[in-house]
Amino acid sequence: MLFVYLIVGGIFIVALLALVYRILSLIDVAKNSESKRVGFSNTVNAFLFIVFFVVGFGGIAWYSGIASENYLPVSASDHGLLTDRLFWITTAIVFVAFFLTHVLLFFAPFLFRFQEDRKALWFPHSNKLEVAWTVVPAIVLTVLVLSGYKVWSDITSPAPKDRVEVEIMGKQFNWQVRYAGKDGVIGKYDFRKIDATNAMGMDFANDKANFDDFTPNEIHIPKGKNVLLKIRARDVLHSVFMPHFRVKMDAVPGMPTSFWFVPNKTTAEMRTETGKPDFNYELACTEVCGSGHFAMKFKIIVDEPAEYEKWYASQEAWAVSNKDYIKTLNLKDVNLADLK
Amino acid sequence: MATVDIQAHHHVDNHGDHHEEHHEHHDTFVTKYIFSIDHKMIAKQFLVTGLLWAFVGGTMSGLFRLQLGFPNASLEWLRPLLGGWLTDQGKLDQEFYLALVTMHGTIMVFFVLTAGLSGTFSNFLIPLQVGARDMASGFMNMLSYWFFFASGVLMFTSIFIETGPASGGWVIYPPLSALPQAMSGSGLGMTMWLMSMALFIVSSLLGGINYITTIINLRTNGMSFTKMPLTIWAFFITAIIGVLSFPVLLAAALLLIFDRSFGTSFYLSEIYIGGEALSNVGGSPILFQHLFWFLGHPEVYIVLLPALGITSEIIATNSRKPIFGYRAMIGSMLGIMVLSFIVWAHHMFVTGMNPFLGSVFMFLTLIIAVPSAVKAFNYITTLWRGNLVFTPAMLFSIGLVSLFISGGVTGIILGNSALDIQLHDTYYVVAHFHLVMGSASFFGMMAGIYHWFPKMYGRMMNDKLGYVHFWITFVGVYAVFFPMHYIGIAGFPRRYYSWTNFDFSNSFVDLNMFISIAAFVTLFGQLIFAFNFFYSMFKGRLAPANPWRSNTLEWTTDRFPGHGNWVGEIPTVYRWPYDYSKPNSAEDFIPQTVPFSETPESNFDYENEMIALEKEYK
Amino acid sequence: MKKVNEKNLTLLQKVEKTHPHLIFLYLALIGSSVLFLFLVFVFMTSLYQHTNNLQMPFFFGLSTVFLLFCSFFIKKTKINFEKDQQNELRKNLGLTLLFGLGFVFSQFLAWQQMEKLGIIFTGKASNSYVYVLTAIHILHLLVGLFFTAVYFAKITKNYQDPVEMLLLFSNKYEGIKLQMLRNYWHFLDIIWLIVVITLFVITI
Repeated sequence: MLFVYLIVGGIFIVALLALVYRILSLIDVAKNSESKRVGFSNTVNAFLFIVFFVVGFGGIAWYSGIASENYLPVSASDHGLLTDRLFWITTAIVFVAFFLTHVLLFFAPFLFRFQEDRKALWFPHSNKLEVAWTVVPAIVLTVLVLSGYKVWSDITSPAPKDRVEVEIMGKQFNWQVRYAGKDGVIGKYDFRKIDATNAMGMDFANDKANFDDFTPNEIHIPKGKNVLLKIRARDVLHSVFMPHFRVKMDAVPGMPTSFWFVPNKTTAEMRTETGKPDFNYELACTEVCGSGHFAMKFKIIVDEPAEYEKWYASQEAWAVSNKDYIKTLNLKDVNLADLK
Repeated sequence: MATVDIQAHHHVDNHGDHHEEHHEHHDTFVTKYIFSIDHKMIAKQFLVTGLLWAFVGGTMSGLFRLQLGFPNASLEWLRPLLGGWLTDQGKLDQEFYLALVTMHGTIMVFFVLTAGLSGTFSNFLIPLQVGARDMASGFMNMLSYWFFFASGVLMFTSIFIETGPASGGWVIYPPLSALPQAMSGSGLGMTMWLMSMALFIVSSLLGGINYITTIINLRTNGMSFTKMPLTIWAFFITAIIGVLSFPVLLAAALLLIFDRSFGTSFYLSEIYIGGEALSNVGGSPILFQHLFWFLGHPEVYIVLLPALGITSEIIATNSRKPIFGYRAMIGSMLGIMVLSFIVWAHHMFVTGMNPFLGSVFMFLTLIIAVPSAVKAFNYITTLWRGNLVFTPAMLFSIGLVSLFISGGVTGIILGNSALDIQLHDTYYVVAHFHLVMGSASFFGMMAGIYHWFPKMYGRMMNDKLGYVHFWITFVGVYAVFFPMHYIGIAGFPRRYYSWTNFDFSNSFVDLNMFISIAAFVTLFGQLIFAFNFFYSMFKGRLAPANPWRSNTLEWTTDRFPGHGNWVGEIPTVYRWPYDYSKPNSAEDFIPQTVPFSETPESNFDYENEMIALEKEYK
Repeated sequence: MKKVNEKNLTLLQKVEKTHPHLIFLYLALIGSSVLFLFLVFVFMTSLYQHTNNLQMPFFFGLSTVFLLFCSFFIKKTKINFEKDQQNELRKNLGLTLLFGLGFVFSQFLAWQQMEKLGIIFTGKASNSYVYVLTAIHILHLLVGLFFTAVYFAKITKNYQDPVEMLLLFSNKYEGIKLQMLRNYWHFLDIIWLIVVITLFVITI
């Protein structure tokens, strides 16, 4: 049925267009429009550029106003404040350039539309102008590069020693998170040790630091502390994206990456600030990884440091809740009774 | 139909009415329309194939815009078209959504904007504008088209296979694209994608080598490099970029093929998938990205430069004013060419690459904005105090400049590695490249079609329909892509089947609906063009010899130029192509074939000195 | 065009006066070089990813000698063609063919030797690169062999016919074809030397 509609509709449209085409052509012939170099439509088109300019920029101004709540998610990390500021400064600069060039570009058509008795200005080059608009953008861009460079090198500098470490592993199609546990060391992993139970491939045989590691279902991080994300993937590329913290880093199989930042608003504070009582920080995947790519969601909670410590202490080690699995490993030097 | 053949002031004899006498040999249907070695026919083959691909790619974007704008709507009515790709609930299958996105990207970037734009106009204009009988090798040129055609057939077939076409995004990052376990599209569909792309690379290289050689070796008398139209400069530089960058894509694809089918570990390391740990160790998935973007970034300019070249020519012609800063335009294109090879890693700021390397690439990336800015300013200055004639081609050219600016300025933001952290792989990027590369190049292609249609088919397209087409498209692409900036700043990731899972992206429902509706209107608006194009081919008014009163060489040929382009001798060139509205000249244009000795009233001093040299040209 | 003294041509003018088919070849070789250059480059970077077990097979040395002979003999065809030495021309083309085939054979032996040394195609990435580089080089070489064989066959066919040979030697385009062959073989040599020297430097 769909195709019948399509065919009938198609024929109708083509017939209509053919009719319009013939009529337009006949009008042209009747008016002998070829005798004049341009017709009235020249003025119409020129005028439409101005209309487009007014409506377009009006629309931008209007929508930027009413939607500002939606496209300005508040930054909740220290470096995010810097990048946000840089973003808006740069946006302001490029918007001015965009606006001014469009004033010229969209008013020129009307101002200089064809007139039979006028001749265009012979102006093939001007060294002054050309140097000016090579140098001015170059200077502006240099300033932007330098300010960008400063922020970028701060963000990518090595993480301070005093930090909280969270390991995040991407897989099709969810995230796995691991904390160091009481010993403060995240145990070594080996991709060959991965199986249905031990999803992160913790290498219990070769690294005892694994025994107190825990793998919660949501990320908790303390406000005001340095947080280092140790990122990896076990099957294909993923990318850790925490929009509110301005954090993004690819997760690459076989090549661990990292990103550190300082969260500066607790979830509770954010709920008050946004007026959304059920607000939560979120982690999403931004590197296409298969059919479930759009649904790799993980919850992040920023606590006050004291709350965080309490939560951290209350977590049960993975090895404790999976004693049966540890038993199957037949590790000689491990006493299951010691795990608690 | 009324015909307007010879304009009184036209000084090149018009052979339009007698064109049939000049056919020296009569081609069969096969040698004339299919296995043709005439560059003009090959150009038309590229054009029509490219337009058909644009239709396919456009339809795909319509389908995924349905999903994005109306996530709850039932698409049951599309079942005759999509069949098994719809779920039982009448929604798009999630993997099929990715397949659509991937195919849309591949088709538009390679088949439409590389082959359809550069292939068409390089083929058509290079011999006509430099004054050559044909390309340096007509046979290689024919091969170039048929490799492209074969590549297209393969890609098209892959859409209909059981496991679906490649679906890992047009950038086909491994390991996703290397492991059939990861998604069904990485099976046979990916193999076909790679084979198709290998054929496409061969086609591009055959074409590119031919373009460069023709421009170097076959220019007519007097056509020095400094008298070449900017179109030819643009095609020349595009071809050089292609020859230097496509082999790298070939290398990347080759290694991927080995990883997929022969068990090597170039890109694979420490992978556990489908319940088993793979044996591959020591490879680097990031290596692929380096190789891919070493082509991928120059590819952006392969797509864009021809459009800019076409625009230069059209804006100068219809402003009745010389292009401002001819040498600066060439210089900036050369600058872009060099820089385009050393900015690729700005696509990879968040892959965990060395931060210092990131800063270097940020610096280089922002440098490339300077020649681009120079070009934009030069276009505006060319319009300023001109005498503007708004042909559809001119409208599309002005539209291109606007899109080039609006899409270009956001490149300054994305090229800044600190800002790219948040914006990478969001809709901000989608907005950026669809404006600056997709739409701008598409506008260049449309401008070129409207402008050179009379030379291609000897008939005029209807300009009123052209105006309607332009305004729908211009308003349309802005309505589609401008709002995506807002969505991107909010952090919506690309290639998401739906956003409703996340609180941070669960806004903008209305805006997405608006974008989708705008996209449908824009897509349907293209039907006006399609009609105008095909109808005018047969029923359009016969074209005058030089409908736009242009200076370049192609307008000195017959209305229906035969194979060999010029009857008799190829004209000699005496001046640059931008003598529009020269002071003291009676006409507002002086074609390149007019010697200075014939225009004593308008010559500048140094041009008078050239008169003595002109005799030697003969 | 102005008559310019042949010796005073600028580089651009020289390029403009070159036969288009030679320009085709040069451009194709540039493209091909880019391919090799990047493969050699990523090969070297792969050495930083993991420890390598690479060793230089003996037969690569033999191959190098064979290929240098190819270049040596094909180079002589320039003078042979200019001086109408048809016997010499045929002999040199034949020798080029022979050593080219020898190169292919030697490469196969080298691959077998590599497998014995534990350098396996599906092993570490650095091992695979050696195979990929040599395989793509052989593919290029087969093209060279094909066109050399075609030219050789053509001369052999017309060998006894002085008129045909006179036509051939007076045809400027035949000279250009030979020039293309020469350039191509030199290109194969240079690429091979780059590959083999890289490998040599890595393994010492």
